[in-house]
Amino acid sequence: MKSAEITSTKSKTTTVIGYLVVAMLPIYLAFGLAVAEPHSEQGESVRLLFVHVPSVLVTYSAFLVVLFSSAMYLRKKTPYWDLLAGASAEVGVVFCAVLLFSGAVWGRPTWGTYWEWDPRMTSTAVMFISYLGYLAVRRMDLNPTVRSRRAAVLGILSFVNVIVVHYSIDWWRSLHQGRTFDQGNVQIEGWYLFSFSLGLAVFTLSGLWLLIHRFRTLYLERQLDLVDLDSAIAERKSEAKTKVSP
Amino acid sequence: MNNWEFVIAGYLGAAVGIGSYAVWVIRRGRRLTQKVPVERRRFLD
Amino acid sequence: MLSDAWRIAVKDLTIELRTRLLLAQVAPFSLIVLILFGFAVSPDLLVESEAARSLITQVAPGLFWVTILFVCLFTINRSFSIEARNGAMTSLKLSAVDASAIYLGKVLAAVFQLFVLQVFLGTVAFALYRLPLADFGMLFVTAIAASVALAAIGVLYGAVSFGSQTPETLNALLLLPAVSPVMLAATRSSEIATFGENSVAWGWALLLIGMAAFYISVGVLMFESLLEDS
Repeated sequence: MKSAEITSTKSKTTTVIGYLVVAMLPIYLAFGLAVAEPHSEQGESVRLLFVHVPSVLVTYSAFLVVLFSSAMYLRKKTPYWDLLAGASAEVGVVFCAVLLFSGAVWGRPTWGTYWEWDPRMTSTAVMFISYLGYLAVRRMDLNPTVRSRRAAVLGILSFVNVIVVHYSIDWWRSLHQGRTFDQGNVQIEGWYLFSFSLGLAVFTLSGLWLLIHRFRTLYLERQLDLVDLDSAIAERKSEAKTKVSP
Repeated sequence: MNNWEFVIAGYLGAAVGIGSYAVWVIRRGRRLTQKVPVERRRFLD
Repeated sequence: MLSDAWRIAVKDLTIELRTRLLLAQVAPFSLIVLILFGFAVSPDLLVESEAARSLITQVAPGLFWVTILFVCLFTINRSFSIEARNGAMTSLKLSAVDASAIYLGKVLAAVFQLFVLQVFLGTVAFALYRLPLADFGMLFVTAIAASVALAAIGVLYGAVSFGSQTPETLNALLLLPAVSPVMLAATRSSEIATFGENSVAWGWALLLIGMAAFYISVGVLMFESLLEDS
């Protein structure tokens, strides 16, 4: 695509991903909300797991991308890794909010409460807040290079939270369902497995779509800063010329 | 057991959350693209 | 490297001795927080009802460590605000001292301050909340290990927000989630040490020592990237 034709952050890749999501969404909703049978113990609320579990996986992957790109930024010092970490953290935070919300509305009919002080739920909330902190550091009013480096260190440190969330269940015995794919009350098979896979595909593709778009908006923000910097330098230069002439 | 109100709330919440973030990102992208000079509008495809 | 770290710790502690910020402001602050927890339960109930008294005794270790988290926050903010003025951080970096020595020195000073405040606040908490004491040794180890872990995490995160326009609030947002595992382990460990219910006995104290060791090594490795300023 020629630069002049670009009027938004979309590209061929994102268009294809977008259409895939739009095509799969009705099938996912049909299977998740209708075709999959209500569960013998959980009833209809089992359908929330088709939202909850995929959002967990997207959140984990997004924060894993933050870890990886932060490490790469510290090694290579190229701004793209920093932008990728920032975009991925934001997408992760959005999906983490979805995961907390869907978990709460699932917990109410299943456990009788929106919030249980279960190690995994509590540590997930802590993880959510610590990535909000990461995003706050990215908005710090500092020299951009310094800020990026600080953010990269924090992006690596914050991953400790993800590890705590993941293993909290083994470290403390609790009432939360075990890892869905190897234990727990809900057996994942038949239409459940199919709805899960659809949910996973829809959520992963939407996450990817959001990640690419957000990366590009961050790229544009950076370009804008560079333009401002260029014009500021040019201004200074012309100022110097007028002042130096005696 | 019938807990449709929670199911609907969960699906709607997810849709509104992700959807409004998507709208925000796209609109911000459009606005920023207008501001950035043409020669700097290059994306890594 | 260790002698450099020692010198930096002595510098920080000298500044504290001359200004007495922690002694004159943070210590009384922590005291009022402990007293306010009593107000939250209601002083009337605490006089009249045995249930209310045993309730506050039961949750006392948690209340104590929440208060220590606030103290930690102030200690860390102080540790970096003394470097913010007059380009002190720049001269520190120009002094050709290793970044890891700066880190260890600041941690050492913070450990000392945190430990002193814990001893002070702990003594008061035992009187205020009518606590028994089952195992002094475990309580002592818990206090030392928790001080090291809190200081190690605190100095690391304090450096992340150093130079920001609003370091105090940013530091609070970053630090409290990061130290929450330390608070959990320290609370459990001091519950066992005070009430003597030894279900896992030294497990939590060992976990604290592990966290302290982990964050000290991470800090030594990563502090340099946080200090570079271009």
